[in-house]
Amino acid sequence: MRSFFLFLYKYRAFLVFILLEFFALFLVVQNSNYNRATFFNSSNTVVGSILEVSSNVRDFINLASTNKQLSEENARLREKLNVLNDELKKPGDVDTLSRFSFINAHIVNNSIFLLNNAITINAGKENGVMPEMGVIGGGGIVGKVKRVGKKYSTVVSFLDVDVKVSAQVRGKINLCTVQWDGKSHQFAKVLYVPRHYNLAIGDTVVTSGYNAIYPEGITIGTISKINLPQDATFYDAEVKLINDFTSLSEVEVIVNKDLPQLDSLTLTEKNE
Amino acid sequence: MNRDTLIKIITFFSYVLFQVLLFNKMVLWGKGFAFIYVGYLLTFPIELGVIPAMLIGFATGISVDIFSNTLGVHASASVLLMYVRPYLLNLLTPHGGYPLGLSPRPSTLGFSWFSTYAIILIFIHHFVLFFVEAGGFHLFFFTIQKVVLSTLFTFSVVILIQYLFARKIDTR
Repeated sequence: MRSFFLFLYKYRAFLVFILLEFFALFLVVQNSNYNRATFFNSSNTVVGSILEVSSNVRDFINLASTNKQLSEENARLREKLNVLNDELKKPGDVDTLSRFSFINAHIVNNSIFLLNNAITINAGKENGVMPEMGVIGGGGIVGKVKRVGKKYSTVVSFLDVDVKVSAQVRGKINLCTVQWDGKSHQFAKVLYVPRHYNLAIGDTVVTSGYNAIYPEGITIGTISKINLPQDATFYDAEVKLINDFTSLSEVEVIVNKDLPQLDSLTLTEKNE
Repeated sequence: MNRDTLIKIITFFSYVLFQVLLFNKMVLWGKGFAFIYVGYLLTFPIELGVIPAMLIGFATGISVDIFSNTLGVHASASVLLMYVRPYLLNLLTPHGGYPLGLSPRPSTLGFSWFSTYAIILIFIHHFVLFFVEAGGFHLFFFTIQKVVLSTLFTFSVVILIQYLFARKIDTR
């Protein structure tokens, strides 16, 4: 027994090292798991408010470009409104319009150069934000809410190599997948587009609506590069994202009113 | 609490705040990061025991992690840095050994000695940091580019901080 304690004492530095490393790596693994909630992240009120002060300074400097972005988005929305107004006159499903409502939020912290990027927004439980809600802004998709604090929430950015978004190419392909490859914050990969489709540069890629997070038709970007090797089954295509994640500042959190119902449906499906 | 400890505590907060509020946003070509808080860890006195050193490393790393939503990534790299540091200091012992109570800085041990010391440790730190962040060795060349570029960027900023500020605070 004595020699055992002597052994522990002799290698105490190494043992503490192993202990700390294990704890740190445990945190890494736990943090990359979507469904776990941890206390120490930027949705914490203290951390969030420090980040907010710094973001206020940056926003003041960026006011001009933010204004421009917002007015551009306004123009796009007005255009869309016209189209929708026409459609409303036809009998159709008005239900989809009233299914979603939006919570405005402001980006407090944003990373774009990591592989698993996260965004902190200044809306939390008090504003009705819940985990798993989709986040859009700047005319395109932004990400998915991960953890919700009292006043702040963290969002898994679309710029995360583990995130796959179900998408479609407008007017051409009903189902494909878009995934970020971790290299440039302006581009993402379009996956599983079979070679018999006629994909072209400039095609618009939008969300498919085959999930409860994003409504159908939220713009992701436009096709910027196509490559179709002789023996490949799928296209190797790249999409230029509509959102400039470097200057994003105002976002909307999507509240899907049917979400509880959809969730219970998929649960019963899984159980059967 | 003596004066040195107080200075170390104040510099801790300034390093972490500058890191998360300023240097986290400054990224060269999407690949070059400056993790200036490493400069804080490098300049602890040579006699500091390895266990307190690792605890300091862990605390610094986790503070940066909390703000950048990368829980554990900076902490694991910083703990390793502090564990390896005494071995490297041993290897780099100058003629006649280190004077008592010395902190490794360019002003105390010279620019070339400090550069060798800093570049090796920053490289180890960044290597672990980026590969833990990537979660493995896929994307190897992309990650290694990040490691090299960030090592150079961090090193330049650390040296700059040493010449601009540290000289006035303590020159021992």
